[in-house]
Amino acid sequence: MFYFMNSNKMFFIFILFFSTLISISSNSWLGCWIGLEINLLSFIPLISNSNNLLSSEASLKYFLTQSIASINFLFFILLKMIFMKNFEMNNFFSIMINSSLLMKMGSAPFHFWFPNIVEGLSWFNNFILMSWQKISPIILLSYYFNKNFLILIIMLNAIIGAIGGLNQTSLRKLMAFSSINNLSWMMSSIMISENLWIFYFLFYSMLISIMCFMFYMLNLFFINQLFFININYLIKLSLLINFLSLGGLPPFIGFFPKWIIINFFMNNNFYFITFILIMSSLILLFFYIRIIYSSFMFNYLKLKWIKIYFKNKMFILLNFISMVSILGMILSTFFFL
Amino acid sequence: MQKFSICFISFFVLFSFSMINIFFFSYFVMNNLVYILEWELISFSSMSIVMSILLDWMSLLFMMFVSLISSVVIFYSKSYMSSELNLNRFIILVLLFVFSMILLIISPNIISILLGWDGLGLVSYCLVIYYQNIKSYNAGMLTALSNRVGDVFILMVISWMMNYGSWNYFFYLDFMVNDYMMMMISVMIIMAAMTKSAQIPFSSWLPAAMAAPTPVSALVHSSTLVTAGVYLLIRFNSLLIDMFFFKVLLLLSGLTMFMAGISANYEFDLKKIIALSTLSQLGLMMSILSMGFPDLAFFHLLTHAMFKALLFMCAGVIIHMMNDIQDIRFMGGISNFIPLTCLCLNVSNMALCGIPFLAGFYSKDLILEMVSMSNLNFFIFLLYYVSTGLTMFYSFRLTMYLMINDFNLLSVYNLYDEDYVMLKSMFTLMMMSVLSGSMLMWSIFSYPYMIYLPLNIKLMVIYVSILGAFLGYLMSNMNIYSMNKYLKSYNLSSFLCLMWFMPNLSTYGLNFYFLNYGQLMLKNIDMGWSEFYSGQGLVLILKNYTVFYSFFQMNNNFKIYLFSFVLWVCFLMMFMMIYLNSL
Amino acid sequence: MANVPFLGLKTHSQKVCSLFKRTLRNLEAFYDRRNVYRYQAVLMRERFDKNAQVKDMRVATQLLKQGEEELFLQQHSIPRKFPLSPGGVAYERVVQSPDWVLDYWHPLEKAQYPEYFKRREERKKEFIAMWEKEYGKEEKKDQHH
Repeated sequence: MFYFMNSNKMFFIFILFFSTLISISSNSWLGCWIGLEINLLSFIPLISNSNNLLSSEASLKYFLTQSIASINFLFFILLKMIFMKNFEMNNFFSIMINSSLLMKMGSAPFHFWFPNIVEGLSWFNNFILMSWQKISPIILLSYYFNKNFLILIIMLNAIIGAIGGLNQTSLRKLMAFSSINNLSWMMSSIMISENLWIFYFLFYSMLISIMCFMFYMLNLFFINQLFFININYLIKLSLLINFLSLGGLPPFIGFFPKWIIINFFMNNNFYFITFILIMSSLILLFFYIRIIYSSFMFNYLKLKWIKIYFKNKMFILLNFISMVSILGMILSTFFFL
Repeated sequence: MQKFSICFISFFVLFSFSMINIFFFSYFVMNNLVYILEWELISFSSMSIVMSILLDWMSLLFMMFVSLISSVVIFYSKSYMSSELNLNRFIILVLLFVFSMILLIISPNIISILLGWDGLGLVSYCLVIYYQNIKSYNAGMLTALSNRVGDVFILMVISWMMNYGSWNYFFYLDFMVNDYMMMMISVMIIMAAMTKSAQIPFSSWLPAAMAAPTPVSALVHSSTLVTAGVYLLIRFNSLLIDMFFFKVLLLLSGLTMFMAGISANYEFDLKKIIALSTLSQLGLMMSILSMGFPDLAFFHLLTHAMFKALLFMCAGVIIHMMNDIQDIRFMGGISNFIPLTCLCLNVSNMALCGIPFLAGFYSKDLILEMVSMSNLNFFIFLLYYVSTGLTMFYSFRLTMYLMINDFNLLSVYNLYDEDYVMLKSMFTLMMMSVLSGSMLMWSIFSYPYMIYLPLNIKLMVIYVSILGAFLGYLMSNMNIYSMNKYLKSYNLSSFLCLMWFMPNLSTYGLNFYFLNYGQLMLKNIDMGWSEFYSGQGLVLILKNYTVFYSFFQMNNNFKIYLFSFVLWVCFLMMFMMIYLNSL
Repeated sequence: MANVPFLGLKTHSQKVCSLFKRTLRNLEAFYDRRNVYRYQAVLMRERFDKNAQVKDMRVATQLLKQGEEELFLQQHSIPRKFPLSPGGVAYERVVQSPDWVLDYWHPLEKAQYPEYFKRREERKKEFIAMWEKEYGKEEKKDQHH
């Protein structure tokens, strides 16, 4: 995780960040494409690890999917350049461009690679994949937005994220499906406005960072590890509450962006999408609770020989973020009364 | 150690408090003072929740009576509860009761009234279930839930009062008389008072509450708790006059009076007889109140508190002496054995009946004369006078059963009357029940009532009393041959004997159909259809979907995933070509 | 005792005796003066005695049933109960905790009554010794689960 120990990885992570900025700030589609390519090529060295077969496989898979998406993206923008004038909208072109971008970010009908690859990544890479890597495709999506198509995609994302995660035992896959579900929220927020999307995205990446770092520190990859892990009860409790926050239960801060989005949706008369989003996040909350509930309430054998201690500066930061996540909404009522 | 027991300390404190109150009462009543203290707790949206204290002659006098009776009762319970292991708990509960009663008395604010009101309900529940057997538990639950109805009404009053922006009902009494919302409030207040004072639909809890220890009955269920409703209505009186619902209350309380009088004649439990007589007197207070004479009701409330507490304490001595036996069929001839207690018992019984120049006479006679003076129909008039006769009736029956006949329990017995702790406290109250009527009469009425009646109507009270006494004498003798007579009118007798079946109606009658229906709902809806169509059914469907989905996800065939994307693109391209061709 | 099937069954004469006793209690509730009650009780006894010689079991059962019915219809609304008997006012008012509760006291609580508990322990040992003398030592085979 500590990329600042490794100059190569630091270099690539730097490129990763700036390639996204290139992609979202360029004023031609070709520039966008270049940014995406650089992004892809800088993420692969971050993933791949010569000691780990799984991560090499994951990097290969990632490369394949992203490059197919990029090829199609390039193909379609060229096609569009040939057939259309500069600012003309066309239904088919927008669907094509949108679907290649959806493939890039792992959204619903083309999401099959996503849980597969996630399984081979470390938690930090997972975090990057689930948060930062979403930025450029979504922003590019907002540049050429086919609303009718994407409303369908949003609903599909919500439902698939909810249903897919229901019987997962791997925490990484579970987080992947939760991110698919959250993609639907993000896409719907960008349908309203870019600021709203930034708002949602920041909160989401904060919440997901807590989860990923926590899992990283506890070295958790599967649900059954949670049952017999020998950690402080309070850490378990904070894990629970962060899960609830991520699921969007009202007193915690995860609810806040969802609330705002629901509010905007109500104003814009998107009742059906709201209904689907809320219902799917209910299912999401259900399996979050199911994970943590059984680790909390039931008595399992606890392993005596694994005792986890935290001697980590990161943990202070994590604590702070999770405090924001837990108490943020409650505290904010005192400030903005 | 013996001297400074918790009983003695509490007695001393309460007695001193009572003396202080009587001093302030005289000062306030002489100078006609009213003090209101307000302490603001929270303020929100232009409404402030305040803790207010109202001190006027009424609250001071009532506080004086409450603390006097409670001090005496605590002194008494030192002997009565002497073998009790948890005496501290008992005394603390009684003190809590007195405290919440005082809170109720001094507050002109509906929220702070609720504090005292709820406290009364809770503490009286704790006191009723003080003996931890099934009977007490059932009685306590009946008491608590009946009173809870009144609490809910008070809560609703609180929410209605929010319309006025403040909960000090005291300030709205004169100005908001004809307001619609105030009418709603007053109806709710009347309902609340009816539960606390055990008027007719809610009166089953008062005899049931006799499962409490006798000192508790003396303090709580005769003189203070049950008068809280009356006191509340006295405070609200200027609002309630000329309301239709007040006429309903007049009818209900008249019926309560009548019903309790008759049931007391059929009852054999010593404490329940006294409880029913309390109920009858409460009906009297309520009815005179609903005719628009709050000061008479208050007067009767105070005198009644004195002699009824005394009556209960005498009953306590008898029960204590008879080894927990409460059934008067086991008793008889006890005046030969315990003359001093019987003296007190007789004095309080006489005062209850309104024998001239005892405490009850002043209030009761005045009430009945005012009734005769008022503009009433014959039914209400009849209720009043028949109930007065019935009071005499059951008092005489009780006296006959207790004192005239032979002792009826065992052939070997040893009755004693030398518990000076109990006797001292009883004599204090006996003095008060002799004197308090005239004392109050002189002090609280600023001008006398003018009574102008024909001779026969004036003497009506005496007629019905003599008739009632005669009937009581006959009744107690008649019971000897009673089985056939009882069986002839078995249904009617049971009806009258069991308080018009009210205890059954307010327990089984209320909850039977609801519980039945609830069980049906639980079986069919909660654990049946709704389980299938919401909880378990949803999980089942989702499980099926997720299995179906895993079929796509789990086979890990990367080629197919990529190919599906390409296929989608080809599909789009094809459509686009058709589209472009059509351009 | 659930495996003893005939224990709960009552013979006919037991049923009649029970009916007679309940009838007397009911009469007691109605006639509260002793002399009157005695008179009524003698009358009732006579009614019972009249049918004492009935040999035919069918007739006797019928009579018993009639008697029960009559008693049910003549029940007093407020039966006369002794306070400590079931249904009485003071029934179970004072809960007497069984003796073994003392063994579950906390040592600190026990320490407040040192003499009593010392003697109690001695008595317990004596009782065990007495028991073992009477019935022999307890077998030790049920130690393992």
